[in-house]
Amino acid sequence: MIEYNKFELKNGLKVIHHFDKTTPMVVVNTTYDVGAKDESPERTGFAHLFEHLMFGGSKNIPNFDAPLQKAGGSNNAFTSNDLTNYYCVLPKENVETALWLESDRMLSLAFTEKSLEVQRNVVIEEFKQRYLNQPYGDVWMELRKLIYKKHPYQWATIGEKVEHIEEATMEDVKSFFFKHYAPNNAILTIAGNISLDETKQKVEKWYSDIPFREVAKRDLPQEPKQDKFRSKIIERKVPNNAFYYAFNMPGKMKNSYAEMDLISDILGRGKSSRLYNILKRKEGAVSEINAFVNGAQETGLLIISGFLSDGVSFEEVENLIWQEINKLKNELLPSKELLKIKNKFITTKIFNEANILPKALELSTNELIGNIELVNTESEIYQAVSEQSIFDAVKHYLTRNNCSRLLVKSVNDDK
Amino acid sequence: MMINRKIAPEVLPIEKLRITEPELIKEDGDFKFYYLENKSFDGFKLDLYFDAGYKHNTRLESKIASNSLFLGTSNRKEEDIENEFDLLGSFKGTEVSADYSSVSFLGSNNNFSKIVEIALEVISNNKINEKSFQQLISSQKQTFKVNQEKVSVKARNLFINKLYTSTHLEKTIALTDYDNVKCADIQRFIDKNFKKGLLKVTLTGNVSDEQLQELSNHLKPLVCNTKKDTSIIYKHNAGKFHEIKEEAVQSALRVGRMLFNRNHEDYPKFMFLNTLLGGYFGSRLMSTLREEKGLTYGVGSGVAQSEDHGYFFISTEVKKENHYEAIDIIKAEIEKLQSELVSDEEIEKVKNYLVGNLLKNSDGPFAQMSKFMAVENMGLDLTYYDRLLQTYQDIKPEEVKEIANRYLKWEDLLICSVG
Repeated sequence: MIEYNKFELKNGLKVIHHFDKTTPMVVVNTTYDVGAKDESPERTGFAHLFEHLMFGGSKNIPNFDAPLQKAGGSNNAFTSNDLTNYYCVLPKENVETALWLESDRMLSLAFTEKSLEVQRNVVIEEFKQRYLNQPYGDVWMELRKLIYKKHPYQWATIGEKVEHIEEATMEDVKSFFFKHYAPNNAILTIAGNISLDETKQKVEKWYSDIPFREVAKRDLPQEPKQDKFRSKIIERKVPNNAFYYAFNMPGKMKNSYAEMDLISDILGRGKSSRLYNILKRKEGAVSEINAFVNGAQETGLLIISGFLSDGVSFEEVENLIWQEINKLKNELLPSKELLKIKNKFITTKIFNEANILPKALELSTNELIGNIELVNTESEIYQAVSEQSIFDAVKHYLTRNNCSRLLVKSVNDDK
Repeated sequence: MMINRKIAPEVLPIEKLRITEPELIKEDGDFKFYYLENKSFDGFKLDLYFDAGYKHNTRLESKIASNSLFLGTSNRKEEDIENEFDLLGSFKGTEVSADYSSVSFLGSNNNFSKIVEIALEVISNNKINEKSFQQLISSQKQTFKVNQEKVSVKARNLFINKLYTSTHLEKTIALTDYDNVKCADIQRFIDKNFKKGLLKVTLTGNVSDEQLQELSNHLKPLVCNTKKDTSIIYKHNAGKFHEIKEEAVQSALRVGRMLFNRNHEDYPKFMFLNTLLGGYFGSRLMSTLREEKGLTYGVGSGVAQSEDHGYFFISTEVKKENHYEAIDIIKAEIEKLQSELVSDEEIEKVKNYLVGNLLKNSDGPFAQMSKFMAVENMGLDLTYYDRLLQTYQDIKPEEVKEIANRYLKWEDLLICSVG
C-alpha cells in the first residue's frame, strides 16, 4: 500500500504528498503534461531540447545545478512521447532549496542565447551518441514511421532529424514554454520524511505566485485503425540481422492493457518464456529474443524483437513466431504459467517500491493518466487477469492485420 | 508571504550518516556470511561471492563460467531450472569482477526458503549441458560483435590493454577466443572455483532464525575458507594510443592511470579531487566539455577498485572533429587544478554534494549492505566513512592542488582513443 495525500493550489498546481520516515532524503518530482506528441511535425525533438534548456537558468536563478549541489542534492530529467519529468533528490533538511529552484523555472526561464546554443549542440551530440553512432540506433525511428502515419507518435523523442534541432530559434523556445509549462499543467510530488503540513506550507510559499496559464489544448490527430499487415526492410552496417514485430494495443492501464503486458511476458520475458524456449533454446534460430509493451499513454505497442542466428532466414523465424502466437489462440494458458508470470510481476512491484524515487514517479505518472489510485489497485488488476481474458486479448490484438514488421538486414552479411 | 526569489533558502546541516552494520552470522577462516534485517519490506536479496574473479583466471573463463552456472545439473535441464526460478517469482543475476564472481537472487519474502534451496542446489550440482553451452557461446559471440561496433567499448578495451600491459589482465576478450573455449574446461573451472569457492554471502531481508540456519546448512558444502593469493605486479604504464574507426561520428576517449584503492591514505583526498574534476554534473570537465563547448553528451571520471589495486579514469564520447580539442581541454583542466587554487565556494559546493550523495547512496537496506561490503572487501570497517566525511569537511584548496600535482601529471597518464 502506498499512502498519499493530494491537494491543489488556486493556480491549478496538483500536489501529491507521500510520507516515508525510513529515508533521510526527500524527492521533489515535477511532471509536466507535455511530451514529443505535442510537437509540430516541423519542429520535432523540441520537448526534449526544452528539457535541456530548463537547466540553463531561470528568471531569478542563473544556474540550476550549483545551488542544488550545495544543498547536498542531485537531479535528473527525462522526456518521453507523453510527458516531461524532472526530479530532485536531496537531504530532507534542504527541501526548500529544491522547491525554490523548481518553482522559479516553472515561473519563467532565463531564455539566454548562450544556453540555447550550448544545449542545441549537446542534444545533437546525444542524437549521435545514442542513435546515429550505435548499431541499431535508428531502428525505433524507422519503426515509428511505419506504424504511425497520422499520430505524433510517428517521431521519436530525440526528434525526426538533426536539422529540426539545429534550426530551433529563441522564438520557438519561448513560445513552447508559454504554451506548455504552467502550474495548471503540472503535477508536483513530494515524498520522504516530511509532514503534510510542512509540505503544504512550503509549497504554498514557493508556488502560489506562479500564474495560471492558458495551455495549448491537446487535439492530437488520431491514427486510423490499422487493417493490413505492414512491412519494411532496411539495410544497415550491423553484425546481425534483426526483426521487430509491433502490434497495436490499448494505452497505459486502459482496458486489456494488463492482459497485453502479461502476454508479452509469457511470450518473451526471460528464459522460461515461450519464444525463448522455442526460437532460441529448441530451434537455435535466434541469438536473442524479447517481447515487451511500450507503456505509451494514448495508444500502445506490444513488440517482439530479436536477432537472427547465422544462417537462419527471416521467414523461418517469422513462421515460428506466428506458430507460438497461434498456440495461444488455440488453447487456454495453463494456470501454472499464468501464476508464474504473475509472481514475477509481484516481485518486480515489490522492488520498484523499495525507494522513494520510484514511488514518487509512480504516483506522478498515475495521476497524469487520471487515476492515482492505480498505485494500489494495479496489483489487483493484474491478479484479476484470467486465462480467458488473455485468450480474448490474443485473439483480438495479435493478428497479422494489426502487425507492422521491420526487418534489419545486415549489409556485412553476404550469405 | 512575500518571498524573495533572488535569495537561495538557507542550506541547513544535514543528518549524520548512519549505516547499520549487518550481523555476522557465520565465519569460517576467510568465509563470511552477513545478514541485514529489514522488516519494512517484502523482498529479499541474497548475494553469493565466489573466489572466481579474473584476477586469478582469464576474463573469458571467468565470464563464461559465470554464465554457465544455470546451464544444467546432474538431474535438471536448463529449461527446468529457469522455469522453477520464474515460477517462484524470483530474479537472478551474475557479475564478474577482478576479485569475485558473484550471483544474486531477488524474490519476495514468502518464497525465500524455496528460492534459496533451489539456488544452492543448482550451483552445488552444476553439470553443464553441452547443447546449452553451445547456445551460450553463440549468443555471446553475437553480443560481442554488436559491442565491437561501439567506440566506447573499443576505447575501454584499448585502455585496459595498455593499463595492464605485462600482466595477464592486459588481455581483453577477442572474438576468436569463443571458438577455443570448451565445455569440459568450463566444467572443471566451475567444479574447482565455485563448488568449493564460496567466500562471502550477504543477505538482506526479513527471515527467521530457522531460515537463517537452514540457509547456513545449504551454504556449507560450497564454502571456501582460504581465498587464493594474488601476486600480480601492477606496472605504471603511460602513453598515447589511438585506434581508427572510419564510420564513427564520435570518438571515445579514455584518459587515466594506475592509482590505488580506498586503503591508501591519499584516497579520500583524491576522491574529492576526482569529484571536482569529473565526478558529478557540476564538475570542471562537464562544465567545459559539455556546458560551455557542447562537445559531448557526457563526461565522467572515477576510480575503479579491486582488493589489491585501483585505477583512475576519465571517460567521454565527443564530436569526432573535435577529438584533439577535447584532449587539450582535459589537459588544460587538469593543469588548472595543478596551478590555481580552487575557491572556497567551489570547495564547499563539492563537499556538500559529496556528503549529500553519500547519504543518498546509503539510503535503504540494499544500499547499506553495499556500502558495508565495499569497505569489508578491503579489510576496512564502517569507520572508513567517518574518515572520508572528515576529509571532505577539512580539505583545503592547497591540498587539492598538491594531490593534483602528485597524481595527475600529464606525462604519467594513459591517453587512449577510438574514432
